[in-house]
Amino acid sequence: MKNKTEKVAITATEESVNGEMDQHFGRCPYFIISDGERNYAVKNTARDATGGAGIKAAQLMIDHSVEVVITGSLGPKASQALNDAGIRSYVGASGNIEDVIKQYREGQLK
Amino acid sequence: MRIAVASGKGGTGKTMISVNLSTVAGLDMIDLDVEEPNAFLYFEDGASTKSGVNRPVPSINEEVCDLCGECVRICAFNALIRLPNKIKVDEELCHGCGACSRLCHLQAIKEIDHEVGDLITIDSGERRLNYGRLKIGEANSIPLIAAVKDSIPSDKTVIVDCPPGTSCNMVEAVKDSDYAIMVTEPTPFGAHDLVMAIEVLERLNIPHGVVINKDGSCGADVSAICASRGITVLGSIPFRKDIAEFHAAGELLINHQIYRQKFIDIWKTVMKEARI
Repeated sequence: MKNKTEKVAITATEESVNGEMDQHFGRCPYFIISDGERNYAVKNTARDATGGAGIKAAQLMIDHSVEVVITGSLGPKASQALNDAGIRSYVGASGNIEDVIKQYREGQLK
Repeated sequence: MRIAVASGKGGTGKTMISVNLSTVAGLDMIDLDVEEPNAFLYFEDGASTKSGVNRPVPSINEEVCDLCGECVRICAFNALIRLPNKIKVDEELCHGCGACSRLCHLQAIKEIDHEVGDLITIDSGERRLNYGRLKIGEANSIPLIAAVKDSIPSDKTVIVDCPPGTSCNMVEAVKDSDYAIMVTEPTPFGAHDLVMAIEVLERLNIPHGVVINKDGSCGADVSAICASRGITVLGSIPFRKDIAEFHAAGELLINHQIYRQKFIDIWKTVMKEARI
């Protein structure tokens, strides 16, 4: 099943997969990237941008070959950029990152 | 010589002071509040001309571009994104600095015009008003403010009605002024924002004085703020219902004898302070 191996990025408050999700895409401190085998944290270099953080964060996703973004909220520019890059996005998610990844892998995230 | 009329807080009476002072002094006027210009309401009799103002934005020749991504890396405003198959430009975020087109190793980027608004001139025969009107949806006012400001040579004495606040728009508007008339009101907001605006002028080394509008309406002691900072109070306009009525009807206060002298006196003080 595709959901099992896709490269998924989740907006995170800390570097750990046991931490909580961050609600913002462009200005979250970290992304936890999961490829089905391992999880690793990527520092969000777009966070301190004075403008265009959403676009810069989307560029980060493209550069890491992410296929799916899971976050709380996504601005219009970031949403368009992810869409243009063929990256699917889920908004409105929250809670423990490991749980959210599990929910996504099991096809429970809508 | 450019005389800026600025405030900090909005709604203190910048346009009211600008139109009355410029008329009593017989000077041309510039309205740089390009997001919501309104000084033109006092110049409706004149013939008006309009011309478009543009700012440069990059356009990428996809046939030449090799997707190296240098333009994305160099953009300080995150206006470019490298998608798997092309570089995409966000014209809203672009500040038109030109770095991407200059640094592209394949010369695949050229700058094209992005319309930001109109420069409008109203000429009554005796006096002229130049103002800008920002295009709806345009987020960046600076290129239009700069174009309107430069539309009257700086060797001509002109009253410049500035946008409120202390952010980029206000800074661009007051920059290069020879003197600034700060219009305030004796409210806590008026006093608070006046201090912020004065700090901007101090940084920019622009000499300034204060006009207290709606004097007597509220208890904030703006005269004391001016005294403590050694700032000249150029004059005051009382808080009166008839003034609000005249202004709301689109009438100049200087057409009413009781207020005409106030503006003549303010202008005399400005001339002395600004050494005109």
